[in-house]
Amino acid sequence: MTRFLPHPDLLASPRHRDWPAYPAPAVAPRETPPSAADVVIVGAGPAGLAVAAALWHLGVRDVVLVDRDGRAAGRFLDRIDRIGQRVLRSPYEHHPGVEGYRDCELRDFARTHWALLTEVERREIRMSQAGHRSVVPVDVFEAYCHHTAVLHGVPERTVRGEVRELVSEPHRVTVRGVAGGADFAIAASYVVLCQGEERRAAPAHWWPGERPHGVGYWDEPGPTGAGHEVVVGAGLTSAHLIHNALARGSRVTWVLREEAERYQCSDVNASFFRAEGRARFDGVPWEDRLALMGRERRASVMFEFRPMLTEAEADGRLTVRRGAAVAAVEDGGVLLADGVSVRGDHVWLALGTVPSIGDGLLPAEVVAARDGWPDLDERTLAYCGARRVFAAGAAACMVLGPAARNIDGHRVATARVATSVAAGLHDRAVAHV
Amino acid sequence: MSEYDTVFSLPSVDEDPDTELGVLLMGLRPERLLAALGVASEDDDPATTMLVADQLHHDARPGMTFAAAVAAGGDRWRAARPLLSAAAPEAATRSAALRRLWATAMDTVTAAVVAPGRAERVYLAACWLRKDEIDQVATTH
Repeated sequence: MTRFLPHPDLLASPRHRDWPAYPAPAVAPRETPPSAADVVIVGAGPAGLAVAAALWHLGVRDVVLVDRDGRAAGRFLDRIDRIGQRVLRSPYEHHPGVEGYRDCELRDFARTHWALLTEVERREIRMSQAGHRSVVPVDVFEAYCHHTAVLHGVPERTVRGEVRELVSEPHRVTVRGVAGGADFAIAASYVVLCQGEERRAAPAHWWPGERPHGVGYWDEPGPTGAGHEVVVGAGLTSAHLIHNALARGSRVTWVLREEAERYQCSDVNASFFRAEGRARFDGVPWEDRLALMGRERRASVMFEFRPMLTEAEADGRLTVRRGAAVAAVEDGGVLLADGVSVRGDHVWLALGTVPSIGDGLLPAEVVAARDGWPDLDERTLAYCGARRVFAAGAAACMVLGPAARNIDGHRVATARVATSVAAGLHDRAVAHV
Repeated sequence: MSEYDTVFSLPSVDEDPDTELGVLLMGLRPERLLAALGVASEDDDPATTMLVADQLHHDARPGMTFAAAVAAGGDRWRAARPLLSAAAPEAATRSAALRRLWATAMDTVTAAVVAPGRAERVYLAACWLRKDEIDQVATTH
């Protein structure tokens, strides 16, 4: 039996190390989008990058990416840096590059930059080569995303802007939005939504009116000095917030609404990254899928945090309130359902994320949301009500399973979407079997 | 021994970084190796050179084509080839250990004194290990 033992320095990979200057001329994002394109990709995060790279290899080059940040995976990395995350939860096998075209994959990219890696990071690569669990430094992932973007022409095809509306017609989709302060409209043959997920807001009953003083979400500024911090949440972001608070000398109370911490290497069970995991969704009734999603898509903490959190709880720096339902959030405190008031200098809220499913861009009858999930063609990931609009990323969870929100799920979604789009543009049929 | 020590179960992690890259290069197509050799400059590190070759392979670098880089690599290869042959150890045994194989190839390149830059030496060593394929590709470009 292989016993997995996380190295104590695994979570401390250097961030923003002195990486060599990338050997390509800087390309500024497009200021204004064109009036027409074969494909518009909404969002240039890991999913959008994966779709753009796959389309490039299928000969689809008339592509525009519209992204709020204007950088490939920029918002994704900003969020990671906001919580001080140093390694990804996804292993080396999960990346937005393209398989099957002899492109450099993430692990080989890391090996190419061997001199820049610490001994612990190098050992993780060896673990990955041996087929074991591994973690990827954020620095490596960022550099790889940049390289993948440049190879597939993403920077010069990216417009910094926001899509506001998609008007689906039989032979095209009009993409309306704002870029550089001006409205735009792109007539696209196809649109791929790669919007990712948004922060989940606190339930309305937690506080009436204005948000209480000393309460903030995980992606907002918080205290920089030592004190007493309260963290409400159960996932990896909560673990990072606790880690950061302990590192600056704070005492922490962790309000865990679950009965117990849930430690897991990846964010969903590993079987869902493989065909047999996805098969648990194929041809399964909706209610069963929903039940499985409710069971599997729960918040969990990356396994490597366990020693640190256990030690902090044992020595009293961390207090964990397990099974603690929140009745209300007040100025600098949380009132639990059992009447206990947890006080602190600052309350962090890390309540998970909500997948963006296209509502707000497409009419409600096209999204046809059922239990919060869009109505997608399971073979192509096109919206059943708008056959020229596709979804990749978390929106495809009810088709591909809970791993759809993971970087590897993007790869699976990309394979379906990109082949369908390319076949449509080349006026060919594509067999989804 | 540390409980995290994998020294007996996995390849070492503390060899020269160029060795790790060299083992990786053993699996690349000969055209990619020749293209990298063609664009390797004296100041470049081998990793940067590989990224440039990757860009050329994707037509992502204005001003130069992949074919031109392969041709430039072919020129360098043909110029270095006799010197490498002369410097290679006679009747050398081909090691089954990739890292040992790489070290021997680097020794040959160093002994031949054919390249001033580190990147060029690395890609010449990679080509030397695949000399039959490289000869064939170099003659067609």
